[in-house]
Amino acid sequence: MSKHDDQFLDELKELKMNKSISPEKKDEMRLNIAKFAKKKKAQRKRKQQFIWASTAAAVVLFGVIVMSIMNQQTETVDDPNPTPADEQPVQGEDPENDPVEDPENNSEEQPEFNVEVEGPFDETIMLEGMEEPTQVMEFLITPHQISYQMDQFLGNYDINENKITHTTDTGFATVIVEVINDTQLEEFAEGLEGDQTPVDPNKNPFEGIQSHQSGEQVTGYYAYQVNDDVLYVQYEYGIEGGDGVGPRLELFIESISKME
Amino acid sequence: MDEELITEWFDRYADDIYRFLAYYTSSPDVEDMVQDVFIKAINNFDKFKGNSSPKTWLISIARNLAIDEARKRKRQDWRKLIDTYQTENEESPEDVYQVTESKAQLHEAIHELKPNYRDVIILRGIEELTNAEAADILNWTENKVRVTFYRALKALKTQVGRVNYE
Repeated sequence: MSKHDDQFLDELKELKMNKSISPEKKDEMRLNIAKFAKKKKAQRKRKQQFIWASTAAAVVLFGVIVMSIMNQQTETVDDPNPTPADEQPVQGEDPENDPVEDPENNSEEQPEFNVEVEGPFDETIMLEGMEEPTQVMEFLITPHQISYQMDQFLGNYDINENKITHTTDTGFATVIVEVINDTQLEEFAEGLEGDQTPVDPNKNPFEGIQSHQSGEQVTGYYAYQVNDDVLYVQYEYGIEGGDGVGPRLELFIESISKME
Repeated sequence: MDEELITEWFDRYADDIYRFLAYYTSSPDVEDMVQDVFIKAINNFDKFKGNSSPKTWLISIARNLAIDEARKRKRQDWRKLIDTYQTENEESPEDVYQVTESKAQLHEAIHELKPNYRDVIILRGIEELTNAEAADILNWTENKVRVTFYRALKALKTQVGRVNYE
């Protein structure tokens, strides 16, 4: 850092203030917080007791049901002339215990894929060793809370289902960002082609794999595990005149983060 | 969470949280938010992993609260915050005025930055946290903190220049 940078940092440090919370206010806050912690502890204890009690009740109820089913079966075996009513399955008599579940009620609804876009913001990229000013748009995929920046060079975007497709004006380069819900990276990677290598851990906080193929068309992908989902990024651009795409792709990869 | 532990954390970190929230919201009136941070910490204690320090965990809760708060209300007058700085080292009222004005301009410029840059400037530049601590709070890699801080400083310098000329 230059001397000028150091002076600037010193100016920033001077913004650090010495003010603190007054002792009276602190006492009041401490008391409130301690009270809340105590209340919360009592609530948790009650909740645990309730869980124990309901578990015990469920075990007893289960025992009673099993016993009554066994008794009924014994009676059926003993009866030499069963009536049509006796032939009804036991489960049919008690719909609450029917193990066949309604698949519609059982399926977990995935939150709707939504993207918030902000910008443009100024950024700097390195092009052939020179700093080049550029502009980026900030994308936030909700509810996954995955954010990233995309250079305005790939300024056209289209959002379709779980996929955002970024393209240049001429369609010369394409980057597709996709979230695959509830998927493990290892399992997902098995279905992908090409030589896979682990991603550079210094680029962004996520573990993942990448693959890159060079030809007349440069193609490749990155796949990251983001909590229970996989973030899948595919890219493609022409080798001729594609010098500017690499650094912009780099900026995009480094910008991927998870907002808390 | 035991009340002994949370009060111990409160005694140790309340002022750090207070100052962070004051920078972030540009207002010195953030005592209620400090209390909310500790209430949230009690509610979410099962999510606290021992591999991060309580201070960085509490600051990350404070940051989320501050973001929500900023959505609800417009920014406070940062000059009110600047007035809380100690200026006893300055010799004359003119000096005091000049220093206050320059801090106010810098503060305004910080709040004009995009959120990522503002975060890293407050944590690394003002609070003087380490790259590792800032990375922990922001859920970034240390390298990303380094790169973003470098870019943020650059953007801030440009911003200060622009504010000065306006």
